[in-house]
Amino acid sequence: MKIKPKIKKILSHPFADFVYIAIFLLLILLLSYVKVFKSSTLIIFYFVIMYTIISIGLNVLLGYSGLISLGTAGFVGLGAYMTGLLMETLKLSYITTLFLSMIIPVVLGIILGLVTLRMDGIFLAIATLGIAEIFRKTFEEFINFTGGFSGLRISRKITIFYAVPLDRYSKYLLAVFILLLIMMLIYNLVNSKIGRAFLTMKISEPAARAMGINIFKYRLYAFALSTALASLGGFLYMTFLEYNSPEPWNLNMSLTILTIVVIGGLKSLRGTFFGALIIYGIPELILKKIPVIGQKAGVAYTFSGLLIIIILLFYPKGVVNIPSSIREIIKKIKAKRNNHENQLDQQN
Amino acid sequence: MDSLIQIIFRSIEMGGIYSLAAFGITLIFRSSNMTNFAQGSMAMFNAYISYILMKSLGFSTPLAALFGVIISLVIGGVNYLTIIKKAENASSVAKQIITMGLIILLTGLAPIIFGTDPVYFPTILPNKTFTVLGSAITYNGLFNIGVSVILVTVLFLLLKYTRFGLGIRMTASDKETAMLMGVRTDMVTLFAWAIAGAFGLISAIMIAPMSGVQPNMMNTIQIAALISCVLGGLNKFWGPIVAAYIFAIGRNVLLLYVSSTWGEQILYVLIILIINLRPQGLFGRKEIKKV
Amino acid sequence: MKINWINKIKNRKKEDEQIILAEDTCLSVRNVSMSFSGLKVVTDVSFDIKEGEIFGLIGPNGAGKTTLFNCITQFYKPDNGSIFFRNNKNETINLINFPTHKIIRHGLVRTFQNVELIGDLSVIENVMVGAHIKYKYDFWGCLFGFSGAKKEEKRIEEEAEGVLKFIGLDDIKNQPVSSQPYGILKKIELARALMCDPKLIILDEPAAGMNEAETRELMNMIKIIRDEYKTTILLVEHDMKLVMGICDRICAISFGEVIAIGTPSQIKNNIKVQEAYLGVTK
Repeated sequence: MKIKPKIKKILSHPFADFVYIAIFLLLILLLSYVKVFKSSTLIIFYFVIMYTIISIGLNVLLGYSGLISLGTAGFVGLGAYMTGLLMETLKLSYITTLFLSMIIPVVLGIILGLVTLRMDGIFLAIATLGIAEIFRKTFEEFINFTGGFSGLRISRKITIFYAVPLDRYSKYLLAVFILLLIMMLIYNLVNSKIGRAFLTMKISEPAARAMGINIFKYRLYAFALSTALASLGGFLYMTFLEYNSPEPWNLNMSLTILTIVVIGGLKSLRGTFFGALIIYGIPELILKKIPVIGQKAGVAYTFSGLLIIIILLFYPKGVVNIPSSIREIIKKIKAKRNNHENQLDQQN
Repeated sequence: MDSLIQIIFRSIEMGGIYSLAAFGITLIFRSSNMTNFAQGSMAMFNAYISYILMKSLGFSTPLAALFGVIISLVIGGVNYLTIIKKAENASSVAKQIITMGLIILLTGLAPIIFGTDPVYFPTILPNKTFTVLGSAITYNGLFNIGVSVILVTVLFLLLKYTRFGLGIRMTASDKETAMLMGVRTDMVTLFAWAIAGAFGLISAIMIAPMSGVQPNMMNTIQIAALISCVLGGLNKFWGPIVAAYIFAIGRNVLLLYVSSTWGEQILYVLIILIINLRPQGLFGRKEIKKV
Repeated sequence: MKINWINKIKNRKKEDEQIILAEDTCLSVRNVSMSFSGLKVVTDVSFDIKEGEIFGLIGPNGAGKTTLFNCITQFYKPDNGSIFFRNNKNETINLINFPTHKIIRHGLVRTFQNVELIGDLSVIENVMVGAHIKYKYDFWGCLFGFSGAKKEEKRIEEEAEGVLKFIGLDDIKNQPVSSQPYGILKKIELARALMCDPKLIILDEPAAGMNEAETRELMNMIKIIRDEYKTTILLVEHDMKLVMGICDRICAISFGEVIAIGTPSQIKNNIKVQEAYLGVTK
């Protein structure tokens, strides 16, 4: 039968990992639908998906291009506010809003990139820190657009194709597909000449220039892409909760996303998902349930902070590489044992 | 309505506060080649400790501040020895991220250890005022300005005229050569992190009466300090100091005389323009990358 | 003051359009000077390189070879002078008018003394970076994985395999670059430089860190590359055996100035060169 090699080929396709993740997430959906899991579990995993998408954007910026942004949360918030305005005021539906909500954030991102990316990467880090403050203040004060501290609410039913209303389960389903799509697209990108150009400019600017890579242009690509994905995360946030306010969009969230990228493994897309699972999922699902300590504010954050410092100092490759490192250690132990046996044989 | 004198006075006071934080960042950058994004968070954490000294042990405010400074020196040093030193061989991006990890850790620990209730930290000097040309100036404000100027001056004198200061300048200029010439660069770096911690705490104590002691009390100062470093140029130690005052004065001028909602944003735009025209900062020297 | 500066560029561009290079000249360095913080590192250097030549640039340490090299490849912009190049479209251009990353598009490629390769990528991926400018598909094509983009990628990959086979590194093409020894890394960089169909390859101390056997192998390889790829080669080098062994002509500089240009035997017997290297005075 010729089925076996074909199956093997499908299973080893690089997209297979992403499909496994999607299947896992769909299982969560199923179990929530039949009420085996609480509805809060579904919410938590929805946010894991949202964080994964935002973190993939930062991963392209940091892991592949070597640039730090501390303003990610601001762009997520902006995407959320744009979504709210488009759906509430212009009464647009799901798919249209998905694309349109990204426009203004990406344009702002490109403008910011134009003025900071010609210089050393540290300027981007500091500029995004400043921009995050500007965003926060704007969200609070632009009451006509954002509703200020009282927030922005979507009062109408969110529909897809202007006809089918969406409930939590269908929104989650859509989010899983969006995640799968994003992972496949970004995988294409980073394994093409663009991804190689990113890595070259990250590791060696002279080599990049000598090989004809316009460093400024590629940095803009990376930053615009990360902004687009951050904005998409905001879209997912707003469509699910149907309410937005200025509070979540602060430095803490930007740093959480940074932690996800670092913990999961720079340059790894699967790793980003695991990072989100660890940094957002574990505190929500496990830590907060621990009596006394669990309820204290700052527990999740302390957990993240400890993890990122430990990982950076002792295992910078990130969580996603742990299985392969374990495999290498096992190989070494086996090789040592073989050598030892051979020596014994020779002696005899 | 605040008079011009009060505005100038307050700008100089804020400039002093920013300059202390900026000096800490400069010291660390030039001796460890690392941008310390956690300057503000460490200051916040130490400020909480000072508050505890004051509230739980009944220290007077000045005494709590003094002990806080000593503790911040120790914590700054310990931080270097345990975490920063291990990261010495990492890439520059990794080093920046480690300081961001510190931000996360400290911001997370603060509410756990110190609770979430708002905390009030009084001024060092009692809140009395005196008049200059018809405007009321606080003694405390004058004290803050004095402390900033004196501390920065003392450190400059130390840098310029002592052997240890020479060691710091050598390490800042070329670490490997300094090591070869017998400079204890690890001591220099330890000192830099300790002083940076102390300066950070002092600036936190100065701003505490206005902002309260809470996890994001240092956010504005952190950004202002980083921007001052970039604006002033990190080649020389005094660049960021002067830039800090320029930043503070510029900010107030724009907020009060141009626009109260967009003043800060305009300031950032101006600074971005300046940096684009002069990437080495107002007072820095252009560095040519050797290929 | 500003107006003078704009006029200078306008005049220079007008002059550039009128320059005609001799038929067999590939690169013409004319009166190039460069100083750092008032210290003159390269002073009024001029020389021509003929098509298909292997041309050597030598000089004692600190003579300004590296600075001159960087001026030619536009990693530095020289203070004065012009560098005319007959590019791969047979146009004569002044390299100074172009930013660093546009230079390779004219067919001029360089290697690095410190070997600037990307450790995170495999050997063949590093070599494929050399063909960056040959791709037609850009951001959106790569993102969506259009079949045209995929075919292009396959084509470039095959080309890279071919170059690696030529250099003799075919067996390690999928291994990570970070685990390769220094001599292999230099060869990989050379392979990368060949990917852009170069007209002029500039080698930055290619024999640095090599032993005798490796140097001999390198000498052979440079000659074969010149013959097979029909390209001109400029090499900046310390190793006298290499330079004397394969260069058709050599330019010797000392303290930033040209002291001699000629064939290897002419240079060997040149008194000024001997003084510069050995400090011999008569």
